[in-house]
Amino acid sequence: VSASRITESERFWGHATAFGAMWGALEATVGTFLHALKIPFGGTVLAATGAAFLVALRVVYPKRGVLLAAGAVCAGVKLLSPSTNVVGPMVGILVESLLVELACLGFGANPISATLGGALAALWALSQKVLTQIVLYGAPVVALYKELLQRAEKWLHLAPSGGVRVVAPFAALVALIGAAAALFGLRAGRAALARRAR
Amino acid sequence: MRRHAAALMLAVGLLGGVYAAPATWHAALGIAVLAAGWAVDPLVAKRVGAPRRWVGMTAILAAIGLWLGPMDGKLGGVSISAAGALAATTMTARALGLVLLGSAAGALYPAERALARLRRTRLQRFAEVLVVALDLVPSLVDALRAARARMGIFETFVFAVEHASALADTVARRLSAPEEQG
Repeated sequence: VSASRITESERFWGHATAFGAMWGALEATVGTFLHALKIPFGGTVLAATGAAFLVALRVVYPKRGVLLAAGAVCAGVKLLSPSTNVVGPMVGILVESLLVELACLGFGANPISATLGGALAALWALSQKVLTQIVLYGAPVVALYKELLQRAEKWLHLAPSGGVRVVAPFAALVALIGAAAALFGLRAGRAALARRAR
Repeated sequence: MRRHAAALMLAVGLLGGVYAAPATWHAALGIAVLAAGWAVDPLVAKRVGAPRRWVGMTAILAAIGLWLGPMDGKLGGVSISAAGALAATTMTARALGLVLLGSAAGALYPAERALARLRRTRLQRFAEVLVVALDLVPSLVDALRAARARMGIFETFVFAVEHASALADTVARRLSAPEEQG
């Protein structure tokens, strides 16, 4: 089959498949590493890695929708993997790909969209953990978190703010990690593109 | 199949019990369903997780509840929250019910069957690419591990992007002529 006979749709799905599969492989490799070292907030690190990879994909193949398609492929791979815990990671992958896709929708992959997409993906990973707990355990989880945050405020001698003063710096740190990872992905995508052009 | 259906019924029963029965019953209901789950459908019960894990989770939640809930009791002169501990058993029973429900439903309708069904619909292309992606993952994991062993993090990441990019062309060719590839 000559290259000229490949349609744009096949090229699109070719990228979605290859990058979706590679994302699945990255999740398996990085996930095993995080699990072995028992690194806290492994979900956030995985989300940041995923966001970086998605931004790199948008650099090497700048087509709208490809990030979402790659996310769907990666989620499908996760669904069919022998692991027992698949629903949470699947939802995470789909939402992360949607968030990075939305961030890159207007002007493609650039430092601003990468920063935004990475920060949103990392924040989602954090929110998904809490949302999953609310779905599983019910509304009392919210009261528990509120109480815990208010006590943390007292320990840290912060003015009462309903926990906002504790959560905000933490969320900012998580967003920063995601943004930094996505910028790393942007650089890696450009490097890969330059190497392929050689 | 019948075993999975029975596990599904157990999950529905537990969730119904959590909503209908008083909170003091929820721990007993959870233990009974967990035991019945292992007796009825060990495959689904394994997916739900070891009983030890659930006991541990209940203990942690109960400790948090005792500490953070409204102080309505005393234990050895120390104020504790009995309501908080009770709420923890409800939370665990509810979580057990939902996880059991998901696991039993997954066993009743496995993903492979969903994929086979997808192939007969307009989403056939997606089913095709999913099969290709599944074929690729093991070799990609090996390639990444080999790359990581001899490169730094950035170089490994660039390798992953470059490798996937090169692979995309091959996959596109495979998708354009699936019959030739077999």
